[in-house]
Parts: sequence; C-alpha cells; structure tokens
Amino acid sequence: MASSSSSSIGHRRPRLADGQEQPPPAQVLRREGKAEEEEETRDWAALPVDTLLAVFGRLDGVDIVMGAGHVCRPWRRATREEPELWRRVHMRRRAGLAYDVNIEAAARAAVRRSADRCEAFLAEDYDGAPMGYDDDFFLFLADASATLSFSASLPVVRGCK
Amino acid sequence: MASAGSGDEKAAAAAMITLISSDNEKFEVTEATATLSQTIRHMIEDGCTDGGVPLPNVTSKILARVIEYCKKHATAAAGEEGSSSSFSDAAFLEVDRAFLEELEEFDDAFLEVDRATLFDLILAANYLDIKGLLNLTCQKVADSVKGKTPEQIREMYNIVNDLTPEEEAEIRRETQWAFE
Repeated sequence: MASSSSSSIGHRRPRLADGQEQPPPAQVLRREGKAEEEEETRDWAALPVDTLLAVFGRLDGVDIVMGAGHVCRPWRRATREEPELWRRVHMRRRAGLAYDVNIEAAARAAVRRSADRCEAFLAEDYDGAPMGYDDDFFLFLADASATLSFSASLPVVRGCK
Repeated sequence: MASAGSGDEKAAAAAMITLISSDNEKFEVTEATATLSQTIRHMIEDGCTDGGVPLPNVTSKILARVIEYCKKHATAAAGEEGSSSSFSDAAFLEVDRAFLEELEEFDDAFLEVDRATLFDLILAANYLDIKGLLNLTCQKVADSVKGKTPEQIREMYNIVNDLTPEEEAEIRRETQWAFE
C-alpha cells in the first residue's frame, strides 16, 4: 500500500532499478521557474550517518519505527544497523500522530533493533500513564534483551517482577 | 577577496584565526570563536593554522552563518565563566537568566532558514564538530518529522522512496501498519 500510493513527488527522481546502485544525485539541484528566490534542494537521503543518528536520537521510538525509519533505504539502514540508538527505548503514544500505532508491534520492532543492547524501556500513553502491555510482551522484552533492567522509576514496571 | 570580518586591530592579531571558505573568502575570527569547532581547536593545538584554515567543504554563505553562531555562543561561554564564581549572588543569577533567554531567542531566530540552508548547516556543524550547532540543527529536523508518516517526510524533504517491495512488505509485517 505504501508503495502504490506514493505521490508524484516520490517519483521526481527515477526509481533505482533492481539492485543497481546509482551515484547519488548532484548535491545541488536548482529548480527552474523560481526566478530571483533561488530555491535549492539537497539530498536529505544522503545525510551522513552520524547526523542522521543525531536526528533519530532526538525522536521518540514510535516516530522512528512508524515514520522516519522507513523514509528511504539510507534512513532505514541507519535505524536498523545502529543498536546504540535503541539502548534506551522510549515509546510514547500521543495525540497528533499522522498514523495509528499498534504500540506493541512498534515496541517489539524497536527492541529487536537494539540487538540485545537495550538497557531501559519506557512506554507511555497519551497522558504519561504506563502502557497496558500484556505479559507476553514482558516475556518478549526479557527474552530480547539480556541487559535490560526495569527501573522502578520508569512507569513501565506494571506487570513485571 | 577578503570582504568580511577583516578587522584592522593589529593588536588582537595574535589571537585571531583566519578561516577560508570553499569559495576562497577569508573570515577573521577570535580564537575563542573558532575553538567552538573541535576540528579547528585541534588544528590550533597542532599549530597548523598559520596562513589561514582552509575549509573546502563550507561555502562563504554558510561559514558566515556558522561564525555568527559561534560568536554568539563564545560570548555566552565567556559570560558563564565570569559569573560562575558568584553563583550565590541573586543579581548574577538574574543576569545569567537574561543571557540564557537571549541565547535561546538567538537560536530560534538562527534556525529560521530554508531547508537547503539547514542541510548545509548540519553538514558544516558535523564537519567542523560544533556540538551545540549540530544539536540545534538536528533538533529542528527531528521536530519537523515527529508524528509524520514516511510519505509526509518524503514530501517535506523531497526524498525518493527507494525501498524495494520486499522491504516495504517487511516493514508492514514488522509494524503491522494500522492506517484507517
């Protein structure tokens, strides 16, 4: 669905042929027809990984797993291949999201990416109340991350021993 | 040629560093301003800033903005040091607070740039290793993508969806997309 509904903007540049790597487009593309106001575009997909991680590190886990982490291949790679990003997982379901969240699925995706390095997990609902995960999820958490410690100061401790 | 920042104060020359942009414009800045960049700080420590510091990755337009940021924040850092000893003094705290507020206002205004400039500032902050500027600019990007769908983000930043159908399927599986 996501692929078939891409807008025209998604196709401004040609899609990559299967498996064929293309050199990144020129850094600066000038759009025509914008007379004086020089409007330039930049290749945001090509942001250096360090800076991408600096951006993602400022996002909620939900934002990465549901949004920014699937924008394009380089962004997806950055969120998947950097377990450090997931050392402390913070998931918040909150008002004003442009998508519905299956928060548990999102949390599972986040913890899986931490590659066993998740040390803290915090999930909150709209009002900061702890999320109502079921016991299966806590088993999954415990299983997915050997280093995970549940801190009593985190609201998520509900249901966990 | 050197059109910007070429003060004539010979006396201060010892503490001045010349930065040279990719388009060969020279900017003279104080060492305090320049060393907000860890990259330049290391160059100064290694004693290789004579004759200017060439910055082939940074245009004059962006370097001017970066210097503007560093000047402001170097002043702030100096102010903090000066007042830290009088921590208990309410008057100094008041001054500190006013200064921090001013700095915040400066940062907000500084970020009012188009996306291309924001991108260039991020690359420059990364290359020059200016932590505060990198934090500031990356926070702006983070704020702009919060709560957005991948497609909305692509439109905003003009990014092509180059995910393969297999990857798209995996993403749906993983997150159990729940639109509607």
